[in-house]
Amino acid sequence: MLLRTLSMRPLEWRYGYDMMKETGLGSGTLYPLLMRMSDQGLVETEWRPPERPGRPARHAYRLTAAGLALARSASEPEPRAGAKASPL
Amino acid sequence: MIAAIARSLMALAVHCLGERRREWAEAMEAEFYAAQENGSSLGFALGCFVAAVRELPTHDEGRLAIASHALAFVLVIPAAALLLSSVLNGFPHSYFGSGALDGLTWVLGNREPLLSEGNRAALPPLAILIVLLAGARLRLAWLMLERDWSRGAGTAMLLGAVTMTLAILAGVVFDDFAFALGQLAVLVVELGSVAALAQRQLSFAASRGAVEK
Repeated sequence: MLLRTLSMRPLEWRYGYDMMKETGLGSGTLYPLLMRMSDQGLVETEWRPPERPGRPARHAYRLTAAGLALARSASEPEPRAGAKASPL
Repeated sequence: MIAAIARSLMALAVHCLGERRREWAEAMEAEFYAAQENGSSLGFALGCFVAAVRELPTHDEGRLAIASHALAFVLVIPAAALLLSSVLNGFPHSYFGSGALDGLTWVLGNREPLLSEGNRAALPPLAILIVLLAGARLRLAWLMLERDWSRGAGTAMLLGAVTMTLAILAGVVFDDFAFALGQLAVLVVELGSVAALAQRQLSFAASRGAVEK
């Protein structure tokens, strides 16, 4: 779900709270996923300047090329029943 | 009230994430403001806290924190509570009427137990030493959780000195070293575990310093 959301507009930077609203995931699920994806090089992160004075800078995320490739391969249709599944 | 709980949970989450995930902790804190504006700060903070706790066993710093908390809450604090409750329940004064001395006299045969009305005056200092021992244990637990090992070492030395004094005094007054041996055994386990944790923390800090260089 997160991969699909991030791959919809892959060039756009997204914030954690906005993604929570978009995907319906809680912060306890979203952040561990983002951390793992970032560790594996699937997501890149960037600090963006605050939108209003007095607020902290926000951490934004988007898919890397590897993340986008994974999202595209995950969104391909499942092989038909009986077909030999790829081991990869 | 809810806002205060949410802020406390966020602070705990940031603390649990530690240095390794500092950037992610700051990211969560920044989004906390957005959650606050939408009236969902408590749910957001609770989720962050759960995520941070689940991260603990995945890194050295987190495993060290789990071990320190386990040692403090399973051994050091219960040992202090046991000592305090024994004093509140009348120990060592209750030892006189407990019948333990009759048994001791029977076991020792002709030997005279040293505890008598004459050395009843030793009991208040004994009670003070037990309270001091409990206090030193609580301080050690606090310093362990704060990972303040240098002050923890001083408290451990105080703990050792008080335990030895208590062991000698209790042994002489009661002519029974069971209490003293129990305290010494707990002390050895406690100090051994604290030393191992401190050593682990120092080697972890040294390796992190080497990586940062």
